[in-house]
Amino acid sequence: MLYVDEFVYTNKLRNSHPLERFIFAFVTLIIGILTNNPLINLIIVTIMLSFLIYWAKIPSFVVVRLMLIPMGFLVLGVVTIAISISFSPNDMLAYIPVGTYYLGITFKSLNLAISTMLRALSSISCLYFLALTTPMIELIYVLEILKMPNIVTELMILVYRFIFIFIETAFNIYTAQSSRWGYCNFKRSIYSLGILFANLWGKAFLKSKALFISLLSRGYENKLQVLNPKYRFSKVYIITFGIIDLLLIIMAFI
Amino acid sequence: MFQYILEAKKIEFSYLDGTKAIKDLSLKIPQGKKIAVVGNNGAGKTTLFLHFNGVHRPQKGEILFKGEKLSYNKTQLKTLRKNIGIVFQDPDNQLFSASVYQDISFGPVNLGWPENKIRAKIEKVMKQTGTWDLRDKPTHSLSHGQKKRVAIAGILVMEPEIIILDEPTAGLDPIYTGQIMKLLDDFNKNGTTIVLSSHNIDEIYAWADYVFVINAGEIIAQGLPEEVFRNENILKKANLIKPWVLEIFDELMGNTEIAEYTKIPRTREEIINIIRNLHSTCN
Ligand SMILES: Nc1ncnc2c1ncn2[C@@H]1O[C@H](COP(=O)(O)OP(=O)(O)OP(=O)(O)O)[C@@H](O)[C@H]1O
Ligand SMILES: [Mg+2]
Repeated sequence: MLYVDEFVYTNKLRNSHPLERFIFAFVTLIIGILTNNPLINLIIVTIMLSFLIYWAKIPSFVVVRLMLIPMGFLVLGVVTIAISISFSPNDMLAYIPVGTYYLGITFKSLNLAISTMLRALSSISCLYFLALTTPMIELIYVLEILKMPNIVTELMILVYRFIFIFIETAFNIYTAQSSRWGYCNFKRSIYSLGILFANLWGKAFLKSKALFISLLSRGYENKLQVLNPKYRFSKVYIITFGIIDLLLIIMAFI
Repeated sequence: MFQYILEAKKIEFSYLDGTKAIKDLSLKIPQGKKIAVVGNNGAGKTTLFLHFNGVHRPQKGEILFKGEKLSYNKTQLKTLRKNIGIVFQDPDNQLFSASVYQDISFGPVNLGWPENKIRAKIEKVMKQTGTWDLRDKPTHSLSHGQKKRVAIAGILVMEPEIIILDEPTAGLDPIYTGQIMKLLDDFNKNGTTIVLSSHNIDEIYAWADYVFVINAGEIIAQGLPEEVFRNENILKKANLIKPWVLEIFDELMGNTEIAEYTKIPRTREEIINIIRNLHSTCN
């Protein structure tokens, strides 16, 4: 996750208004879910992945690896859809007899499985498009525009920052320990890891206290108000995204 | 108007674990000056600074802001914190957002300024502190020195009357150290009182108008830098080393005929000038 984070901040699609990307990803997602035409789903996957690789310039191996993560679940789920049970093997494309039943794949179930698979993939690619082109801070900003309650966005700002402080602290303790042979054998490893976690909580607590003090010093009063950089809407993006979604809608529903 | 903008009167403070960090400490910060607080590790500098904006409350004694005693009620703390900006020692404790821009905007938004003014201020200060190029980067991928500069920008942008900086230049490279000190000078010329702590004695010696030496929770000396840093007793007691400019100057004083009226040099340029003049008089 942290590794992916670095590509997000340097992706080439960042220079526009995050809302454009958010709406594009969201509308395309909805089209992909509502359509009954697997071809549309296939097109969506292609568009999203090629945008990520060729436009946002996210290295293709990162995109491929990310797409592979949910594959395990997906294949498992889809296989159970594809296989059906029936008394007669009449309209089955392939089957194995199990007692008096037949376990096999019908044309209908295969169709359903493939379209489910493609629909899931198109949804995933839409979400990855958003996640890989839009840093968390900008996503929070979009949520603010969409009138998400302040408490939620404030928490997201703090949590997101703290994840990194937490990991950095853990990593520093780990480095300090391992450079003094803290993980040389199993017994020491268990011992060192225990100390690491105990310290991590203590440090996280102190850090949050120190952070609170510094927020107070800058005039914090129950509300974490900030300004975001001025994002500009760009015609190129809006027109491109608009035309793509319009074509998809026409192809899918008309 | 107020000769002393900030005062501590016989304050005492212990941490919960019993560490007596401040003992019967009194000091007065003159308005519009450049003040340095020096002392070894654990002397109590950070603890003292946290008294100045009401985060710590002295168990004995009192703090005065513009001659008025702190009573620690909400409205008073609010005005106090509006007027006193603190840059903390560890920038990770100050940066709460992953966005550099968001973080710097936090203080001004709290002050309730109009958005246009805030945006203009942010841009100006970010350019002054060399953080403008970092605005699209997440704070967690910045180097320590870069984080430090963002933290400093987050306070400067609020334009407080007093800026307190806890080791602002620790971890900065010489170029940025110079730039930040210069920037503080500019703020000072516009009337801002600057208080800072540092372990870089040479830098303090060249920069400060007035120096406080703190040791084990007490002020053991105060005065003009050229007085304080020439007092061997104080230096020894507070684990300090004489600034090299003074060291060389005193050496020259001992060995050569320097006119009595030579001004004591504060900076590299000044001492070099003295040495150059020395050469020309010899020839
Ligand atoms: N939260 C705390 N709890 C207990 N003791 C503390 C705490 N913070 C500081 N101290 C102690 O108080 C004393 C003064 O610490 P302080 O941080 O003010 O020193 P300092 O002059 O800022 O040192 P440095 O130059 O290392 O930053 C030290 O003995 C320190 O151990
Ligand atoms: Mg300190």
